Amino acid sequence: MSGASDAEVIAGSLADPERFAVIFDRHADEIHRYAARRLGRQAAADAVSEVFLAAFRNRGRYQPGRGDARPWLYGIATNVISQQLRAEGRRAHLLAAVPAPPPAEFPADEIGDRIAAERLRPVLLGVLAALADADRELVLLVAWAGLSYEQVAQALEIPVGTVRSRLHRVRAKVRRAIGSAGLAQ
Amino acid sequence: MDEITLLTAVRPDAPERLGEPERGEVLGRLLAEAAGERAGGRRAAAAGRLRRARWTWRLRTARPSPTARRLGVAAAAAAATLATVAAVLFALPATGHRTTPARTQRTAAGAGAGLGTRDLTAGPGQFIYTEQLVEGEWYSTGTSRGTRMVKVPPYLLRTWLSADGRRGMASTQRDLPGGTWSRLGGVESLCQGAEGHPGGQACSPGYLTKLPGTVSGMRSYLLRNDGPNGPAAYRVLGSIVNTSSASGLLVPNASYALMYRAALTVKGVYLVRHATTIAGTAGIEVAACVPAAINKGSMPGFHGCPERTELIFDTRTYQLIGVAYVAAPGRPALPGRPSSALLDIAVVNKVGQLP
Repeated sequence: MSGASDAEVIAGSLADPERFAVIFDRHADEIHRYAARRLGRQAAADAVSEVFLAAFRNRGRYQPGRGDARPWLYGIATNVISQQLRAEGRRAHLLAAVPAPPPAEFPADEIGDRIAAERLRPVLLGVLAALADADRELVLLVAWAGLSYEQVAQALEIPVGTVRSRLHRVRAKVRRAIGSAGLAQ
Repeated sequence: MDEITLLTAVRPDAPERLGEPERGEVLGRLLAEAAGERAGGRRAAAAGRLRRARWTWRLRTARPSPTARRLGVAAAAAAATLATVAAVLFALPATGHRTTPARTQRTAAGAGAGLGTRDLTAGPGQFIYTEQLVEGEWYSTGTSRGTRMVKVPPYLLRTWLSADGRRGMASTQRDLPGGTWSRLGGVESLCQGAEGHPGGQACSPGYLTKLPGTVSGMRSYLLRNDGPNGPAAYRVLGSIVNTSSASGLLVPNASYALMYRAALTVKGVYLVRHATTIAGTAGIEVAACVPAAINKGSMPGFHGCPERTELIFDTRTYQLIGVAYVAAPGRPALPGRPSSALLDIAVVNKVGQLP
């Protein structure tokens, strides 16, 4: 089963439910990392549990043409995370409270970007907090989860063109915010 | 620098991997859900047809009836009776019981053959036949210098439990390797309601059909059933032992799936995905430390946990196929906790009959 695609594993799990554990094994760490970034480490494990239980329950609706289950799982994760944040009313608080990691933890070629970003950190987090929910979820799937535009489109079930146009809008907001703060690079 | 790159750069740090304890808990919930689906006969294909369907777990098992608790207590009594009979060697009367001419059923042919391939049912007058491998049993013996513990060699144990509880039970064992079968005894003629003994000992049904039908109901049942004293994790596992094939009982697979799911809701119970019984049969396991050292942080790596109780379930049907008491490395096994593996279970028509 290790060589089977996600779609094949999910199809097989319809008759053999326990086979779905393969999907968990393949993607739990990645979904957990994203959940931890969005919700904090404490809440991340619960979110992962909700994501995979929801995926398991809805696996009958998985589109077999999608070989990689990651966009589908990120789509579910987006919903779970949004619900948790709404329920707790802590979006802005959480974003503002994100601790800055020490630059030394990152590869050398990223340190320059990190230092520049740290200088802009309050502005960037402010932009994220001020975005509409849908735009924020979209941009974080790109910036924090590393999904391609096509994968984001699959995850959020929107056209790729919509992903591009929304990202363009977000970029413009970031540029304006940096310029307004007098921190232009 | 690109704006998206800037946003990536302020990405919070996150652990590379989901921690092992959390992984076990999450996977346990997922597999428990899978067990519930399999036991309930529900398939995602059906879910796919039900757009936006909200899933609820409605297993085939009936909801708890007012007699469920009474039956549970009776099941524990059966386990106690089994232990008592195993300890007292006396001749088994010749068979010749009143039997019902019902069809004999069997679900497995031996260790590793794939236990629990289907649900068995038993009718009134029939017997639940089990064959188990038992090892790690100890007994105390008096000497001139005091009492000492003696380890019993591994043995095979066959039991016949009356399905309706009206015809009692019998058992026989054979030491390994090379021993011969010796009949351990029977209490069939002593049971209440048995022919000629209306006022005898209360015997419990060997076939449990009225166990709770929900996870929460099963959890409550197991926690209040006659399991061992101690923390909830230990009690719930002990209660499963007393309400299962490990005690010679026949339990519907749906109830086993609920037991498995219920156990994983109890703090201190951990999932071990790949486990084998002492007979070498593969399964999935739930485990907990013994009461004196139950400590969430110590599992499943054994640190601070002198011994743990392990229950091994069949990965497809969730039938209980093994019980193990495992000492931590470098620690002696605690006496009085024999491990066992289910080799065969069947429904037969009379004591002594083999499937």
